Amino acid sequence: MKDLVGLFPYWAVALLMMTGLYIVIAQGNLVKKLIGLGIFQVSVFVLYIAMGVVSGGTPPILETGFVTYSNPLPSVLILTAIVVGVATLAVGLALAVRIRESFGTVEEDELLPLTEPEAPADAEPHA
Amino acid sequence: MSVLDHAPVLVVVLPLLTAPIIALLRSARVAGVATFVVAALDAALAFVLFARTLDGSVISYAMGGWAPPIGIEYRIDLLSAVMACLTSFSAALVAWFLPVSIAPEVTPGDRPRLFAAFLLCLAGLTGMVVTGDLFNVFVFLEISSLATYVLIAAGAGRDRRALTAAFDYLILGAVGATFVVIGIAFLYVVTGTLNMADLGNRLPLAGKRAGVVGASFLFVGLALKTAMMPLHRWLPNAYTFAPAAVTTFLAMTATKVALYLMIRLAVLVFGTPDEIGRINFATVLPPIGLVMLIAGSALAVVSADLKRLLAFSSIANLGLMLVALGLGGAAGIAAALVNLINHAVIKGGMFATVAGIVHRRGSSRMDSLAGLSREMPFAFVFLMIGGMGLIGVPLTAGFVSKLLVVKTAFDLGQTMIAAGVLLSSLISVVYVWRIVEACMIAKPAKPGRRHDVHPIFAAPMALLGVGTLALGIEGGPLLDVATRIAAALTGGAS
Amino acid sequence: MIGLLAALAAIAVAVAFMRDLLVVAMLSSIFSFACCALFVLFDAPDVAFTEACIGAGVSTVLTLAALRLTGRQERRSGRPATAIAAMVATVCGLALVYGSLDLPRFGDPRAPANGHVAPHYLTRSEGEIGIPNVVTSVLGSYRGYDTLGETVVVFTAALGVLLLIGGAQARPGKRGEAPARADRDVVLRAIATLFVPMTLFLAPYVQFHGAYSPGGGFQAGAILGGALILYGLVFGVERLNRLVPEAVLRVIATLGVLTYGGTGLVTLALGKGFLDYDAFGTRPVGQQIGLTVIELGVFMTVGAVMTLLFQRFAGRGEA
Repeated sequence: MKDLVGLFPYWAVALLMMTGLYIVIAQGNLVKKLIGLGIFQVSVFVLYIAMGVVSGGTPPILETGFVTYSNPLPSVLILTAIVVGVATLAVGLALAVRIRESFGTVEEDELLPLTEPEAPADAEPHA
Repeated sequence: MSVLDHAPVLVVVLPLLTAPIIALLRSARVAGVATFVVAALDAALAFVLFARTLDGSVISYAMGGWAPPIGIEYRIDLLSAVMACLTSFSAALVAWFLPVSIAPEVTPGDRPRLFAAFLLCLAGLTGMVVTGDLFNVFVFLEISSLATYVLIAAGAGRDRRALTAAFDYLILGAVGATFVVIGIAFLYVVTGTLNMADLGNRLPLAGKRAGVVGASFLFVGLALKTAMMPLHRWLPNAYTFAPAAVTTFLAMTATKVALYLMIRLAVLVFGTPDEIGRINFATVLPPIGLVMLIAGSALAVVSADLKRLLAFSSIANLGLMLVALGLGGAAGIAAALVNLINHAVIKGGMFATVAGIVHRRGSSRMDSLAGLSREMPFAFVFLMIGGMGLIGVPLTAGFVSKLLVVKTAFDLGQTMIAAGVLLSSLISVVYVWRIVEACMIAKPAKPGRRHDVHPIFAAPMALLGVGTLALGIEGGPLLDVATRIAAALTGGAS
Repeated sequence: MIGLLAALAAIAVAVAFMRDLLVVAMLSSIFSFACCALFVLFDAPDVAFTEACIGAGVSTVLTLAALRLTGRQERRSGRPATAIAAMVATVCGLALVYGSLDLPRFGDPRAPANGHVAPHYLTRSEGEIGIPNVVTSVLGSYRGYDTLGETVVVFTAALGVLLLIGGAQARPGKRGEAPARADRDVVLRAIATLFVPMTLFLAPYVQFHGAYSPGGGFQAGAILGGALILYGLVFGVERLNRLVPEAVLRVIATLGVLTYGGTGLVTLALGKGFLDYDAFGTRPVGQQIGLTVIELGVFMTVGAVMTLLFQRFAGRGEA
């Protein structure tokens, strides 16, 4: 049982991840989905960094007097992932803005009847 | 070291770095030509890779001069080379007619940027197939995905539903990519490496549970990209509402690359394909594949739009490839690979033809195709050739692929699967007949004059159409290459 | 740590149930900041830095800029998706817990992840690359190719937003429609006049000191972008556009990617492999030259793109 205490951080993070995932799937507002996606992703980052922690260690910046360092590799990977996340968010928000302008709404429930796949083509209303 | 020795890197870096320059260009015409030139050069580089790996050798290229697993490694065997050829040749073919095809939908000011996005998509896809580092796969997956969302949304000029299709794909794609990252996390934590070959060596010694969970998350993330049911929902809309040229490119490459990754991970990382889990492959794939096969074909029958019909047909064919993979072993992999290439050629040809039709007539809806056989005979012929390929008529590539799967299934005693494949062929007859009916039998509202596709579409249509027949008549070489790949993967795993 | 994790959980749940999207955006920003604190706690200051600039900073600004155009309130109706979502989330969560049973315990130094590749970076980078910040070494050199890809991702995002918002679909805000200028407010004007130049100075410092402390191209670029965005927020996006025209930013973003990739091509021309900085001289000097150049490329692209994204979103007129 004491052994499992060392897993607690991972479980807490798993909870956060699942909340984010829930928001992405369940919520109807497109922008809120994107925010939920962000929460999901940041939680995954926390998971990675948590995996790289070395107890008694220090950030991986070499300095005289320190011997034990935490793992630098998760930091590198997550730096990349953060940037990828904001890139996806930017494109997603741009799409949401265009959808709002084109369809008048960003709520999934309201969009469904407007995007009926079998209906004829529907070009953008030109300004 | 000559330039060609750096082909492994250049095949990705060439489109990667020329794209930003092309995005800055003022003239849409120059940008269009430049895009084609880059894609063609890329195809040449990929071919060099193919020639060098044909004898079974593996090219290893250490990025930054750091040996793996310290640094990132590009690891190219025959399978990677074949996939690289697929992405770059598809790009070259589509780049040929992309400028003309996209003209009605995208303003001249935006076109250079669209071409740049196209090249970035190519760079991303190619980057995924030649790398030997798992996180590198993720980075290039995201490059190609972002570019894809943008490319799909470009269809809004003709149909605003392209926007929602792109958004849905974005959400699903981002969730899938995050699942991939989670999978990588578990695998890294229990092995300490990101290099795929190295992972293969270390995973058997690591914790089983973490390995299985990591593999499963990776699998689900990739399943999404492969449009595996029930995560297939993005594909019909994306294919239907994207510009036809974009759909051609995606149909030939995107899902195929994801499938490649599944094969690669199954073998490199998890041992033989049968191993990674009777959990993942052997038990899950055949049923799902069969459902996709039958349901996809059935949904194609009731579609009101030609592109949508073909999209569902693609789902059916992806199901076929998954069934083949699920059959397991070298025979299964070989069958899946043959299907992969053949389907790319057949579908590519059909979508290229549709692009020509849409460009001329403005719509791909079935009820607008009336009179096509008279007004656009050239296009109609190639639609028919593709249709024959989809059904699996002898002398077409489709026949070779389906026969291979049926035969493999029989050899393994899986008669249900064989029956399923044959059933789907029957259903495809129905939806191909629908195309014939729409084009040839339906009476147009007013008779149009004969005005065939713009000449620029002729070459890609013809090339792919001829390819469909050639691969059907002379299926030997492809089968040979596929079998060799499969043997190398299963025999000398990691 | 427990407190932080609990707070994070509370915020996440609140986000799920709140309908005012402005509040949701701010909550997600606080969520990011709390994660920053966790990152610092977990010995990852570089990540905390980047998450603060990009995750909590730029993301929130972009979200707010988009919300201005898409609407502040979420309209809720009964959704069957809720049940499916809860099921999927629970299944995945349980899978994660199951998989975690095999994981090394939190902080275990003997974990496989902390063996094998990581010690090489920690022990050998001093001699091979010669800078104290190991994360920068790995990011820029050992795994430099991933970082090139990352820079291209940033560029692709800019490309996407330029194609989606603007260009032929440009709907430039009519006078009075753009976000209100806030510079009539004395307090804001004073703070902006103080902060913008300070932040502009911080950016190059972070850039070049990134080898010795947390920092580097991404953070510096985000800080520069942040400074310019602050200027745009307080003094109006039109003035920002006059100060740094979009055309210039596009060129800079392109140059950034080409600097990075070009470095790789130069190393090829010099006879070595792609992005092999040994082509620039013996270690560790050659490595440091290479690192400095590519970090500059990253800085250019990230800074230009962040500003560009803000300009596009803020300059868009109401539908």
